[in-house]
Amino acid sequence: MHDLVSFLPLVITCTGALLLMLYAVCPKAEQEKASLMSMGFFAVAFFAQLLVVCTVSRPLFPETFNGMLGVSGFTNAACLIVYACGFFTTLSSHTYFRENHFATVEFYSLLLFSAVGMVLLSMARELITAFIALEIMSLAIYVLVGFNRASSRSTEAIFKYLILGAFSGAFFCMGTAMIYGAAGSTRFDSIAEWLAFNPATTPLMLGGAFFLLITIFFKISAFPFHAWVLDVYDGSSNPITGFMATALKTAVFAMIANFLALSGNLHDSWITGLFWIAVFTMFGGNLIAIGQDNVKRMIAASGIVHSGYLLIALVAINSEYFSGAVIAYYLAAYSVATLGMFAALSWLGGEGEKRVTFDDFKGLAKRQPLAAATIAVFLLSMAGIPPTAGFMGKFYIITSAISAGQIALGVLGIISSIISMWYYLRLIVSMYFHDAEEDFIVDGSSLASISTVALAVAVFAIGLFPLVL
Amino acid sequence: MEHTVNYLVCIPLLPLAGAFVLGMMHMLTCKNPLPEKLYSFLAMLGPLGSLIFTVIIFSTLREMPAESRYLTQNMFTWFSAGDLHVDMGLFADPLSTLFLIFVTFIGSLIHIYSIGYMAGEENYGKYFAYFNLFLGSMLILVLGNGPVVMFIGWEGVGLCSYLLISFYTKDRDNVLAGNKAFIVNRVGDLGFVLGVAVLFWGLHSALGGAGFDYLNIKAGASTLTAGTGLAVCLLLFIGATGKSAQFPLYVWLPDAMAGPTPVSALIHAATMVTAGIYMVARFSFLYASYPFAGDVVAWVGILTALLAAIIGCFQRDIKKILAYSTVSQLGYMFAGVGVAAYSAGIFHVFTHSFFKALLFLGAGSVIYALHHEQDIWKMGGLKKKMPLTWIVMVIGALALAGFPPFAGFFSKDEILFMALAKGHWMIWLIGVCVAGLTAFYSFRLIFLVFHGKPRDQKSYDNAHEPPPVMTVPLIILAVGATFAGFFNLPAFFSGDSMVSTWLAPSLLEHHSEASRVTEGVAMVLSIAVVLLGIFYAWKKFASKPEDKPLTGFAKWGEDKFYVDEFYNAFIVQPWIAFGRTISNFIEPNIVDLPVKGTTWLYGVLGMLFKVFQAGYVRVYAIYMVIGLSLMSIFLSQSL
Repeated sequence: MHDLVSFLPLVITCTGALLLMLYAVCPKAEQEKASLMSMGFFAVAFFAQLLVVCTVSRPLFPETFNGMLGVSGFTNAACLIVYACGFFTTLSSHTYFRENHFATVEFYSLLLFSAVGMVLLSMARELITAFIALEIMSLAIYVLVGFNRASSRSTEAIFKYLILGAFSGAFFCMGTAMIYGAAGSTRFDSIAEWLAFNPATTPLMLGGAFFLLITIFFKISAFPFHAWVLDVYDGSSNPITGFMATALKTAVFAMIANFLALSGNLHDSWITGLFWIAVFTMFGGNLIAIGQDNVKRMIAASGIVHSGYLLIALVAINSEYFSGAVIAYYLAAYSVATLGMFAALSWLGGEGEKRVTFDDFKGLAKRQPLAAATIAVFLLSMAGIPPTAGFMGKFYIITSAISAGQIALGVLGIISSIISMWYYLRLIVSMYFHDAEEDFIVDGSSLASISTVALAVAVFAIGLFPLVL
Repeated sequence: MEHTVNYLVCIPLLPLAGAFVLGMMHMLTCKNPLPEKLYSFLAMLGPLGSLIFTVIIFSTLREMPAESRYLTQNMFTWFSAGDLHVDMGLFADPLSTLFLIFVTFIGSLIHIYSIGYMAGEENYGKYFAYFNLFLGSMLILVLGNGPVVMFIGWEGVGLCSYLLISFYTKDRDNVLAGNKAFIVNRVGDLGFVLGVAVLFWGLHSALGGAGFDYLNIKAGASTLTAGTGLAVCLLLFIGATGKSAQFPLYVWLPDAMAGPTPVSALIHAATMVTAGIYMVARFSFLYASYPFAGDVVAWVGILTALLAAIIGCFQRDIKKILAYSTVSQLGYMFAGVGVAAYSAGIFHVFTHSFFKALLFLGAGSVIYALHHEQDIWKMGGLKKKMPLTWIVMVIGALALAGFPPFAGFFSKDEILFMALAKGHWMIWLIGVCVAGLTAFYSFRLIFLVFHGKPRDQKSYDNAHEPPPVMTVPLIILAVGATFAGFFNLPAFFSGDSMVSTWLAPSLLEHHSEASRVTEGVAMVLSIAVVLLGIFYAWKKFASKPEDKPLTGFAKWGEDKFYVDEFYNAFIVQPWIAFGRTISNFIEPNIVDLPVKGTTWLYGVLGMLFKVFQAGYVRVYAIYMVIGLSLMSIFLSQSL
């Protein structure tokens, strides 16, 4: 029975997705109503999850459904983030589709389906389940990325993402097969048991884990599997970009953190590799972001950098010191800022996403002082300026790296965050220190602006109440 | 006796809360202002509330035995590091209570006057918010339980003077005057901060982590080495010269006339400029042990008094004359505290606050009546049009000149007599000369403004008495300026020196005895000099004044002895040149170059990396394969 209570939010989301699918068939279906309905489903799922967090107390890695899925404090946090991301994404979408007319009811159904995949992925305790969850999520996202069929950029983005995604999905299957070959099981705990008695450097196990990680690196856009991210983020609509950047990353990180934390000495053999990947991801991402003139691409590239910080926390993870709370906190902080950024973009872009480059944001502080102020808050949080959530997140990550003995990684993380000021502050400078060159009126529903303000408040709220997760 | 009370904090807090509320109201309703009555009502609550609490404190202190007459309140520990422990606390003893009485009383009167003077002005709410903040800062300064808390108020009044002097921000000259006041004060503040730091450094072992407040400092003062103590006294005095406009830092005060006239009254009479005197008197236990520091204070004071009095004789602007008279009177006060006649100096602060507020507010009425005309050579004959203002101004001038029985006579004479009695006969002599000059310039002002024939008929015809909200404070102040002197009637007039007795527990001073004959001769002499000054002014300006261009020494005096020009040429300009050098050469070439180089490097690297984002999906797949291969090689190494 406890099992079912823990999965109640998942059931709600899944039902919501199916109901919306049925609603789409209805001839009088309107996408605005669908958006309100999905908002409701996300909100209910979020509060149900909150209820689960508050009422059901559990050990760190319990088993449910014969060890296929597991619920822990960490997965609960990840699920909360996913639902919150879904909720704010629907808010932004509602506004965005007032001006850009290509949404249908299925859009929201797919959004809920992808959330189902993400939640399943973060709870997965078994490789095949993880793969299925990954594909549920990815397939829904592929369609969402290419939803604007009239736009060639959007179509280009979906093809790039689909081809490369399929490529990486194949690695996941391959890795699963190899690990099964070595350990005789696909369950995380059985693999951990096998690893306790056998060296992690067994070629089959090592190779399998290697292929798994490549898929993960692809999904979180770690170096050198990051190249797709700019084109795909740029091609998809603003709310979806925000959703991908936050919820998807959260789910994937939750899965890999669970996997690595369970299989202790596997992780040990990977530390050096993770170290270099984290470093290259941070600095590569920074360098790419510096070169961008387009704000969305800049945020995409900065997403690479944030994955780098999260990889630092992964390096620090082990079964004695589970830095899951740190990861979850950082993901929450990052999600709030990024979602807020894209909520503001969905609202300010108007029809056809008119605000694109840094120059388009010139003088925003005079035209739209509230929007400019909130964007500045989000950027400062991403850059890690106190007292924002982003600062606390970076602080915890760097502390966890240092307490795990990875001092060099901590220092490099700080340097990278200094470099990242370049492009974050550049946008603030554009908004505040230049005069507007052109102006256009944006109207649409106020939901996105409300969510922008709510998220800006959340940036400070999360920053002030650290590690309650 | 219980010394801890919990209502001391209300005194500064009420005006500060008023400042906050008024400021918020003004900010939120900038576009369509609220009615002025609402602002005036709220603005009055703070000063009047403080006044009531001051009276309570005064009566509480009176019931205490004289030797342990003080009240304290500790709100919280402000900071504590090593031996330095600073509580946010307040301390009221006879000295601070005397200051509280006239600061809140005169402050309230000036608030009332402002309601009339500022009526119809733009930014009415902002003005009163600043005014309340000013008063609140001054009260913190006076009530602070130690030099660090005092410094909050010290800086607060500096800030508010800046805000209020440049209140009419549309005129650039006003903003520059505000800047000047602020910057000159900063120079003094540096001295104050250094003085406090040296004081702590000298005392830290004696304090041993106890609170850094006056009681503990006084208890540990004897452990200071001679050099340290002297340094503390001189550094603190630098702070005092800035805040109380003494040579060489007096230059900001005459320029501070740029603000609205009630602001000048508030700065000159009740607040801000008296801070320096208060501070020296507060540290009387230090100054008393270092006669050399006292001599420096006294000589700087009396020479400033002389210089300012001479300049005051040749000014044309009614407010500038009063400004220089303030500088001159402050010089007297420093001479008083410098010769260790602390109660005499403080008493002069007290009486001066009445007659100087009176003179400024009276001048404000004249300016108000003549629609912002300030040149005394364009006035004249106003006696008929503004009889009330004339009467109160004459009272103020008599008090300023030190003519018996008006307030200034007793306090000024007390200072001069104490200087003589303690053997500083040179200071006494200069002081007597200054008294003559003071009488001359104050009656020059009276004769030129109110007597003779109107020199500007048009503005004369339009002149009228101001509304009662302005005249009532004038009358109250005139009564004060007439009778305030009797509070400290010396034994010579069979008085009992009430103020000196009241202050005795707070101050460390030795009353010198001198014969009654000496006192009588000195008094007669100074009255004679005052009469001479008035007579000379009458002869020269009463009937047929001539506004001819000044020459020679007078020209120098009119141009303020070119002190401003001297500072500008030898301090300000070299300093600006120094700053330019840094900003033109050192900043771009030495500081910025490595930074710019780094950003350039990253910019180039970023552009290079952008090339890899080719946009072809096959290229991206190749990256993945390359990455895969590299990682495989790495893995095979570890097998």
